[in-house]
Amino acid sequence: MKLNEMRQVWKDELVSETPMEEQKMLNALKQESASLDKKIKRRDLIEIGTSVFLFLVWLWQAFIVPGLVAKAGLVILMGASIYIPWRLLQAREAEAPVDASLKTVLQHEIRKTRKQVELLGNVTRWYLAPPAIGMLVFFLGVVLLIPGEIPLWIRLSGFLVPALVMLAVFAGVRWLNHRAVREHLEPRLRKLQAELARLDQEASEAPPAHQH
Amino acid sequence: MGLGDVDEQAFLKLIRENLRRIRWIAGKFHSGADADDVSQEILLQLWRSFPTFRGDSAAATWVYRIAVNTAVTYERKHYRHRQQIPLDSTEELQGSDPDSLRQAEILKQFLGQLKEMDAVLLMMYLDGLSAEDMANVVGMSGNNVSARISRMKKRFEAQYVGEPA
Repeated sequence: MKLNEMRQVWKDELVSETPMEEQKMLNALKQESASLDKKIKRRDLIEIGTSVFLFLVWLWQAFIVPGLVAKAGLVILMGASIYIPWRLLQAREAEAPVDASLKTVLQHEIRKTRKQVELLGNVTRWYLAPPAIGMLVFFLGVVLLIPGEIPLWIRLSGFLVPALVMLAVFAGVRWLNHRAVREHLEPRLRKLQAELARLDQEASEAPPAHQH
Repeated sequence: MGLGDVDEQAFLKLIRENLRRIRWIAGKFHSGADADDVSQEILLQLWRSFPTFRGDSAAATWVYRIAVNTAVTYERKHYRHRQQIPLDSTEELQGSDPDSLRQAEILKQFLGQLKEMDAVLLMMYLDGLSAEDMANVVGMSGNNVSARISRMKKRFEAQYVGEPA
């Protein structure tokens, strides 16, 4: 038996005997597609909306809170609320055309995953440190503003308690991000790189002895 | 993405002609529930890309590209609640008489033995795509594709020698 003779078999194989529920399928596709678009819009809205909201809150606070140190903390927080979404937007990569060649799509996915690894792996530097520094300066400024003769330990705990709570939350965020890199992104990156290497290897194998 | 003016009838025709091809590709790269999920993801990608399909390549080549790209880069999303897209459920071999059923079994068996990319090349070969089109889908040279097809032909003939055509 020759492979050419299987063409009709393959053709028959492609004919489904089960009729498609066409309208149901179309409706499901429309809904799924719309929900995907909505998800992207919602993500953008949340990222930008949160940053605008926080910026306005810190700005408002900067006008009403006395003391230079507290104001300096609020200015750092304002900077952080602009810097973080800017980093997120900068790291976002336009999707590769889904009908590009497999090699192009793999290279794009690898680049995108590497960026995500870099972003989540360095979350302390760009996502946690700027607001943490701002908050610490702000807490310090607020403690310094407390009037009157009060014991040092009360002043210190007024600074340390909120600072430690904040640092504990931030440490949790850092751990979650690093776990995502370790358990999800790095395995995906390795898988994509292996696929690309396999494709490159297959593409560079010996040229044909016979043409079909 | 503007999907408002999609020619639904043309899209349905495309899917009707390619649904089992999509299922075969998804099933070659993934198994079980993942294969179903990949089939649905491919349909979604086709639907979203259909407005930009200008017919520069044959519809089958375009479908192969999207299907292979989606299957290879598929990422399981446990958290994502997906709208279930109804697909045909049958994966039974086609064929009305014992001979054609046997041939379908042979083809399925042979496809099952091949590596993913070779299986895709074979599907495209059986569909009558040119070596250049196949090369464009998988990102190999035309020569390389021809070499692989040639090797598969030899292997097939050696393996099924004496089988009635």
